[in-house]
Amino acid sequence: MACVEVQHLDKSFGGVAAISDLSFQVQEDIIFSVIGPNGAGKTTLFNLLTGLYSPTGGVIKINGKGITGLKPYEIASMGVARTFQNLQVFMNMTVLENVMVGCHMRSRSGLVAGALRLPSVLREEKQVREMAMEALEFCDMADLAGRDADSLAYGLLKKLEIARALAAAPGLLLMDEPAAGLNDTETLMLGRLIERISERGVTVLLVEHNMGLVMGISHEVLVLNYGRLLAQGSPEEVQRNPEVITAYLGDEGREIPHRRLSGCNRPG
Amino acid sequence: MRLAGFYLFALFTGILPVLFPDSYYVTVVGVTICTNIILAVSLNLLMGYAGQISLGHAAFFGLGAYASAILTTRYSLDPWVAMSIGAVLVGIFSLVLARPILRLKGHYLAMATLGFGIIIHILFVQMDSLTGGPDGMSGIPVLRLFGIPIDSDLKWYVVMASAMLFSIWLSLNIADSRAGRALAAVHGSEAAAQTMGVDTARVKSHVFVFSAVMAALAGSLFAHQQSFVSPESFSFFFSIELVTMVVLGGLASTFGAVFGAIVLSLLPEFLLVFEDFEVIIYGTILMAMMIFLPQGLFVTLSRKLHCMFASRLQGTK
Amino acid sequence: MLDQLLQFLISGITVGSIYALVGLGFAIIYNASDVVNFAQGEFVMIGAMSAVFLVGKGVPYPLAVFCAVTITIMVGFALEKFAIEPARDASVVTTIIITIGASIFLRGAALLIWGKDVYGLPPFTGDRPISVGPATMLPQNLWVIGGTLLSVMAVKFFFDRTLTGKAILACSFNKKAAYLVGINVRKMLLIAYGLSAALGAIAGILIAPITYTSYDAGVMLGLKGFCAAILGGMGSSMGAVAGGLLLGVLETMGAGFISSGYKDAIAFVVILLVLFFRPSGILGKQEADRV
Ligand SMILES: Nc1ncnc2c1ncn2[C@@H]1O[C@H](COP(=O)(O)OP(=O)(O)OP(=O)(O)O)[C@@H](O)[C@H]1O
Ligand SMILES: [Mg+2]
Repeated sequence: MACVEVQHLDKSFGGVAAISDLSFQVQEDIIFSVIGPNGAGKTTLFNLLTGLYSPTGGVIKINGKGITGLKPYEIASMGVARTFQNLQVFMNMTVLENVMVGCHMRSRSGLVAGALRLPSVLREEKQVREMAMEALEFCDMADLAGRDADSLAYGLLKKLEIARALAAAPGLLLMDEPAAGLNDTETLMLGRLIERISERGVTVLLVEHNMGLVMGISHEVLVLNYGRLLAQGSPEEVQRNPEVITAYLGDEGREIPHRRLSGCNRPG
Repeated sequence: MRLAGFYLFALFTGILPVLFPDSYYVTVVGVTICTNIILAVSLNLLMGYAGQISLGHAAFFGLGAYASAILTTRYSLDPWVAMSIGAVLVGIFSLVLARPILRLKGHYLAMATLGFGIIIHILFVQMDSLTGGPDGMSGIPVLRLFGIPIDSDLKWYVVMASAMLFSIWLSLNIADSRAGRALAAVHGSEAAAQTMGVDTARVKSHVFVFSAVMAALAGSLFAHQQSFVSPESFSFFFSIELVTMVVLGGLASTFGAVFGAIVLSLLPEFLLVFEDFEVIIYGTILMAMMIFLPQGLFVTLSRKLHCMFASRLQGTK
Repeated sequence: MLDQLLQFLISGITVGSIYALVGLGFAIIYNASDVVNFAQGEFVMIGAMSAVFLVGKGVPYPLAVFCAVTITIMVGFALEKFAIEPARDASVVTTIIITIGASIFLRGAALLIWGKDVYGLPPFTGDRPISVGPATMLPQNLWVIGGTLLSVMAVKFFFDRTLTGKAILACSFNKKAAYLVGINVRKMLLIAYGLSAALGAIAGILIAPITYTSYDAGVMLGLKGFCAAILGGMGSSMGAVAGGLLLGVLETMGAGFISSGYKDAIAFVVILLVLFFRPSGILGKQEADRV
């Protein structure tokens, strides 16, 4: 069964159509990348998939279940986690606490129990701490656990978001431009990390401008342009697709620079 | 250790009446300070932890106080029963109010909570057959604990200080719990909190109710301690004062709220000597502290101390 | 019944005019600096009290009014310069407390200067009632309504037609961009505070002959003005004016037909209902968070 199924999805803001008539499927356990120029609607797609926006039209199914009308936290409880393009780290907490929030759905205790620090709370607290540490170790950040989040460098904050998402033990992980702002070595390490996440049986949906990374690790690539599907297939197929080359990759056809590209596209 | 600061503070509160059993500042002002600390700590749960401003917290304090006053004097209920009924009523009321009010953000939330506080205050004044109107209600019976009547300033100090320490303990525990982290997450980034599976509307309304009930219980104790209540104690201005305590100490820090409550409760005592200048000086201090120490007095001070000690340690290494 | 309705309408529009002016002041400051100025009501009080004081000292009425407005404008400048400007990057809560601190300060100053007494201003032009159909009104009611109308029109003209007005609007849309195109943002903020103070003072002077004034008269007026601004969608100037008028009328009707004791509660009940059902005001626009 497809892990994600999108049918005739539409989303417009006032007059601007950010996503129009988009349909695709994501198979389980693969790394599926969504690429497209700035403003193509990639982040909007993620916001729709996680319930932060509600679609103007169309259907999204996750593991066969429609998510229309569900709140973001309800979608999260279906095993969907994500990272954000512009960091949404909880700057008022430590690194470990950030990741412990990721374990929210894997623990139970309520406000009053927590306030009274009942024995059950203490037990659970210990488990949550272990789960969070495990996620941090997986991302190679265990030594930073006690640091305040706002003292971390940009690259580490991006990794912290990944650790936090992993702590939720998701079946589907959405990553919005995880490589933006990273240097080459960091990007390489990130690629390896994403592959290790995928090996754990997590379906990864990746939005990324770094073509080296995308073409290197993706099993399938979808190209968005002006909110519409332009092409879909294996990295090789997409790179060879003439429409993609003319509309998106431009003359050089090698690497897409990080800067705003909308100026260089021609519609159609 | 997690609660080191707490034990230190508890020790301090315990020693004070032993050293100065007859001091006006300990047994009279001290009791007021304890009440204000409970209120500030409870408001800090909502404002500091969850980042939801409330300009109407005094209303819950007042509802608790009037519930106790009305149920004990007009219906001759036992003070503890009255207090419990008051807490439950305020709990239900705040639960109903929580969702629609906490959907609002920023200035709209400020307006709504402020409006709510003013409406409740007007009800206290206007429903005189029940509340005694602007003159208030007197003759609220003495509270008994394990058969002992709480009828002296010193006994009240013990009761209020215990309640105050308990509320600080609760608040510190919450900070270090699943719910506390969820609240801080809501404060940090509501979108991220939601996508991590936090039902933000739910945790917000839980903490709203918790904080309201805490304030109501403080109100009940206040009513018995004063044996008199009047609308004046629960006005818009007191709500503002509570907010100031929380912000003055430093948001999201329990001891910040404690510190703010202490400073702001003592300030009028010291300003009394300035007579007519009291109001203007109070306003100036308020502005100056917010302008120069927007992080809060306590938080700024403790950071400074922290840095100093850290550099000392580095030096000895 | 009908004449009673008309009578309430007249007094409703009169108080509503005052709320409208205060609300307009709120909106102007909020637009220019993202600050909800809880000292807005104090402008009203200072305007009225200064006028009372000057008239009492034998200054000719028109000159006294002019000086009172000028004094209040100076207070507005001072507020911006000494309380708002130093705390430029403060959070919403912090600025709220700063302006509340400022309002306490101003009230304290008024208490020192004028004491706790209640003062009145003589009506601008006599107090012979004018009959309007079955109802009557005082000349001062006309002054209030006319003065408000003029002020609102002047403000509208200022923002729509003058360069300075447009520059202030530019600041409210995007401070950095305004700065980059060469607008003196700090000066624009000062002007916004001055303008808002002037509106407050005018409101205070217009209404003082009807409702009297004292050092603490500004508190409720300020809060009602805040209600008016929120009703109008916080940041829409004309919305605030409409909100103020609506509030005034509802309040007088409520006080007349239900109970005068709950008069002050009506505005807040209305505002709560509005916020519960339309969280961004009647005229405000809904906006979604962007991540
Ligand atoms: N909350 C919103 N309100 C209004 N318009 C929006 C909103 N979110 C996105 N848009 C618009 O939708 C379009 C798609 O934006 P989106 O952020 O999804 O692009 P993107 O593909 O993620 O671009 P980038 O590569 O720059 O991140 C843009 O025109 C954007 O302005
Ligand atoms: Mg994007």
